[in-house]
Amino acid sequence: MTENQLIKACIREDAASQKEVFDRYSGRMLSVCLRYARSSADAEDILQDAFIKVFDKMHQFKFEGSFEGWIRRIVVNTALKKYSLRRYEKEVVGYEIKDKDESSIEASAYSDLTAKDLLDLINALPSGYKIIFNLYVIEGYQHDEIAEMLGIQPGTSRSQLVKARNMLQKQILELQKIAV
Amino acid sequence: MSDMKNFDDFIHSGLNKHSSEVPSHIWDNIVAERNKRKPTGFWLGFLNYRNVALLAGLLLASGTGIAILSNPTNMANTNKFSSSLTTLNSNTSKTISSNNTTTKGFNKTRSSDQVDYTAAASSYRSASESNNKESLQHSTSDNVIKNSSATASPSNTMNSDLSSNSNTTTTNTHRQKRYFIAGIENIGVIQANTADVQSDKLATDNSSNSNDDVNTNNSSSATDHTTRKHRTARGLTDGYMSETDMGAMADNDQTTNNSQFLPQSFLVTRLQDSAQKIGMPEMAINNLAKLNLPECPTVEKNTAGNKQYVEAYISPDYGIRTLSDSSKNNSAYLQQRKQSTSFSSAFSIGARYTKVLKSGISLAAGLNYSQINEKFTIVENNISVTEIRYDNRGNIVGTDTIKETQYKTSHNHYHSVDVPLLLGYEMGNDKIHININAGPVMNIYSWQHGQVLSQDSMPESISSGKSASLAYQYKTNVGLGVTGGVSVFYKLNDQLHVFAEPYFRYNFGSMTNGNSPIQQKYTTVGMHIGLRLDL
Repeated sequence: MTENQLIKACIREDAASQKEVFDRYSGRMLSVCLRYARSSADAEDILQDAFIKVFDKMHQFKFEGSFEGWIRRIVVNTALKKYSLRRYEKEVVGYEIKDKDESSIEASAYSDLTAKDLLDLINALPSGYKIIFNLYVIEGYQHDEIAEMLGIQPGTSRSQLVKARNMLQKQILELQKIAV
Repeated sequence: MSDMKNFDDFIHSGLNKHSSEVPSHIWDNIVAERNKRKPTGFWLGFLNYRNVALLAGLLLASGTGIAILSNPTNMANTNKFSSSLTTLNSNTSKTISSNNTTTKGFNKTRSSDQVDYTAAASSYRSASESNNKESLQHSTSDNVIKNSSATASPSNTMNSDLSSNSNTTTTNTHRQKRYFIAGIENIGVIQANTADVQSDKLATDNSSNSNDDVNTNNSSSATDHTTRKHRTARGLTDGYMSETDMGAMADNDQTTNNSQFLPQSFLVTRLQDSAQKIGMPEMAINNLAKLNLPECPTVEKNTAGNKQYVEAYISPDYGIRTLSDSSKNNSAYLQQRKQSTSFSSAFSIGARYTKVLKSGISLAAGLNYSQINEKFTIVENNISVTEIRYDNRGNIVGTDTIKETQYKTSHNHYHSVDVPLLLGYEMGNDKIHININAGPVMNIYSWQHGQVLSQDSMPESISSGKSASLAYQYKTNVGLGVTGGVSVFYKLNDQLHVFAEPYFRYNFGSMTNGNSPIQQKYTTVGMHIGLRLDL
């Protein structure tokens, strides 16, 4: 069954097709959820809510662009809504970010990292940083879009991204030292 | 910069397609949750904003469609009737010629609804006198002539084809009335012009069909001679119709038309005036007062009455909330409740049956679904969130403390199904009706869901039920209320009206159970917009 046929069957509320869609995309979507959630239980909740929305709104899919991309947007928006990020005023305390460590990170330093390592590192970021890093680097949103999604200024998004990236690189360096 | 890009690309490629193992219970939860969300009845789930808007559009579109389609039907009937005239014209039985006749106000386009006048007219017998300006002779023994037609001769300045049919439909009553009034009002005109009408030929036919050929010479306009009432007016004015004939005519009128009429005295006075002008003998004029004349119809007196309707409507509503402290000791909490919730939106949809009595009194009963949506917002300041950072081996390497102000917003929904019973008064003309109505509205079932602020300043889910122990439970039946409104109906065609009805609804009882610290009530105002079908 092609993807379009599968979607049409889902619109007709065909249970087998819905299960097929879930099986096909839920693994990747759970990874998305894990990057935004504070815990794996939260991630599962987000995934569950997101797929309910996917099936409820399936008729709104216009067969333009990637179906996976459409699902991913729903998952990301569900994750953001879960934490009411649009309505948060954030204040990061108790953590100071030093200026960028001038010691450059060798590409080989992170080339050995597995996906799980990366996921752990990203999840270790403060949630404000983590969300912006996820949205920009992995989902591919621009700063203007992120600013609109989160109700913040584009400049804030940029600065948070820089901080998130620095923090991530610093952690990788620490990993390098440990490995050596 | 390129380091940054490389780093980003590496992360992106590493995680974009990353897949995790999904626990099997998630799918089960999704299925269970979706099944739970399915409404108990199809219609309840159907009533979301989009579908309600679609339904309203469909109602309006179908109403417009019926209105448009019904007109060609009428036209088709007229055409069909006209075509039948051609056939009937071949059976000529009576010819009337009139010279120098000038009449006004008679319609030349005829339709089947005028038939009864012509048919009844042929039952009258008019006496001829030497100085008659117009005489009509009827030897038809049958009081009901099924079809007749009058065709103007080629010498006429205008030709009029007149036809009749013994069938009379109630929907055509108003047109008939107008003809009658026009005839009466033109008596003076006819006399002023001293119509010189001569009877050239009289022919009678006892068959069910008869045709009139009317030859009008040197006329400034052709006159419609075939309606019984026109003839009545002309005949009386000229003094050629016997009292017996008039009485018979009146009887016919009363049996064929149940409409309400103008008083007889009005008609007699007009006739006597006209008779005086043309110099009728005083005795004859006095005799006119004894006539049992048919009454003229009023313009639209009976239009609104004696009807049955089915109405369907939808309404955008506005809810006016009343919150009261049942214990009188919770003013602070009452204030918090007021601040945490606010009216968001509301709508109603329903259908009802309306009976309008002849007196204009209307009775209506129906079924109404209404929904009020309320926004609930809770603000949590300075929420500290501690996040633990781990290294790649799972060891804790530090903690981050984040302080947040969180606004949680959700929506409360209050649904109710009610039966309104309305008493009203309806008036209007053939285009616009106005109905003023009011009456009790009985709640059949209510259900609610959402959250309210608890006395501990925490969000608390509300539920529907009759439990006395739950402080945040709402009633499943809010009891009796009262509703009232003013409807304005606009007639699209003989069967369909579109209407708008500003209305209000007030509930006597609270929505909340008796043990709730805060009693909540909604008064609704709105605008019903819908269609009315004339049964």
